[in-house]
Amino acid sequence: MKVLLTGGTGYIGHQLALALSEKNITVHALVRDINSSKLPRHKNIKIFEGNICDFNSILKAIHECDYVFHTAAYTNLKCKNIHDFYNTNVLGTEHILKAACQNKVKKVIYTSTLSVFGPSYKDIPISELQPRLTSFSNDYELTKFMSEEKVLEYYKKGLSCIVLNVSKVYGPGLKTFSNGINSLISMFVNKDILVVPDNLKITSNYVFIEDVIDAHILAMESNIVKGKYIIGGENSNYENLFETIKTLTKSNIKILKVNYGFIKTGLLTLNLFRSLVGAQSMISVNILNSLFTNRISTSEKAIEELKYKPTKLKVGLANTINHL
Amino acid sequence: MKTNYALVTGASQGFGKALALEFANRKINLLLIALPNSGLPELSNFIKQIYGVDVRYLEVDLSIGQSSYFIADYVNSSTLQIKYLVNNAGVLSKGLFEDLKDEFILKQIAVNVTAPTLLTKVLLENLKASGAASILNISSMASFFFLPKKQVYGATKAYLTSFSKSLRKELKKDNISVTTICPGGLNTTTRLCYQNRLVSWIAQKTVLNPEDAAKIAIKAMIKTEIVVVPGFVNKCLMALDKLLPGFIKDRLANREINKFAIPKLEETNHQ
Repeated sequence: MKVLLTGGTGYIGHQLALALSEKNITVHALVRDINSSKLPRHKNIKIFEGNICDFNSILKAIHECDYVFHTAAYTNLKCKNIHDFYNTNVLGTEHILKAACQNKVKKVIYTSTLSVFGPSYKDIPISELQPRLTSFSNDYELTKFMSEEKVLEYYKKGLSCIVLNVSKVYGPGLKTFSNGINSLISMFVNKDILVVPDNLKITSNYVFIEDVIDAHILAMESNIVKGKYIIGGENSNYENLFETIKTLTKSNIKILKVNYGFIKTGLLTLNLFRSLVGAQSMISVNILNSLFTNRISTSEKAIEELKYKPTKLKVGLANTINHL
Repeated sequence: MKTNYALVTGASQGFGKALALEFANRKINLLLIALPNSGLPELSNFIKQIYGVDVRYLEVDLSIGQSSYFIADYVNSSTLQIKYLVNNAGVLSKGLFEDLKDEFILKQIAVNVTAPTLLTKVLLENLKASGAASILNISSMASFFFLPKKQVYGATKAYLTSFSKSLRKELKKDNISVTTICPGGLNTTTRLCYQNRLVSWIAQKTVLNPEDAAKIAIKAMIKTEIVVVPGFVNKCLMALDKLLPGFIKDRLANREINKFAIPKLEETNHQ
């Protein structure tokens, strides 16, 4: 069996490529830079140089493939230019869907994000049925939402596609924009003091990387041909997350809580100063806001229909810490 | 005593959805109207769940005249008291007049002109019975500026603004206020969100998120204001409109408000 995989040099795509090739599946990995140090290497992985923005390069890589795993995305929230997001996330995805349609691919497994649903409300976990109530808080959310609208368009053309709305991923793997938890763990190990905003009751969902990989493979193997699935793990607030990491790493770190508004003002001033002297700005207020948004979710649908089995947060974190 | 409801048309998405949420946030029960297959049942259930208000919904097509009677029948047979009537549903502009299909134009007039007029008429007795009611009509800045590609749209909105201002005088005796809100650009559909990100800095400043505009609109309705243009930059444009000579206004309006001047990306790429 052959599959096309995009985003092979990314956090999820890299490990998914390796996991698939271990199952004796031939993986056509479409990558922009064939000299990248992040290439997944295995005898069953065939590297294709190209770009999802270049339709012809996809056609070459998709030839004879039964399934497509589309994990590539533009995720750099520091980027202020919407074109980068739009070209990769919307047009790139449309290219993949179009090529999959033309080549009669059995199914596309598309990696999306929980953030397309917006925040969670009260104690109601985000489910696949939650309508979007608020405006998009950044270009990543907007363009990922738009790419899912493209998937709906291609359903009408007869394409089979499963969308996986992945929550916050953690666990061993490449260092990218998408795994902030790993950086957080290193801070607990290496630093004496950690300054954090004081609204630590903000609750998010954390999913272990291996579960995400499993979910992709389950989605491929399942008889289900369309639909969205939230792929998450456990819900935890920051306080509990910090406490768990602190216990597991036996860290003596002092956590210093600073007023959220104060941090925001500080960041604004600092970023203004940095932009005046031409330095790259640090984490923006926008990113901070998106980190401090309640996003509790449930993966009941995936558990029931895809036989998805999420790992406990404590187990996953312990595993991650051992690897780091 | 009957409990009060706010009736919002075009409630499944965009500004209508934001208005519905703002009512729910103020603990006001809802009767939501939108087209079938627009996600209205899911939205209604979710609003009920998170805000704890009663949410009813009807999936009807307002381009059909009978729909207004159907809504009124439902309201009367369910003995709902409508205290707030929000005529929000509208069909947006699509292009040059010569390119528009006849059916599209008729539909636009039916939804933007006939439906709010008729719905107001058939619900009038119900509104009167509430003691103090409000009608909020969603017009547009396009009812003040005369823009290419917004000929019929702008005219339907000018009708709505004019209709509302006259009606307001008539209904004062019945303790029903009529407020018109005239937004500029709103980040409603994903396509508009994207297009609004591509325009110039000043034009981006005229664009509001629907939830912000909804807060302004409902506040204005409760304060029984006459006509409201939400957003600081939009207010400036309105003030400039009174000061500037016609030819400059036209140029500004064309450049800064006419977001439909942007090439349609989805139709030009990789076909």
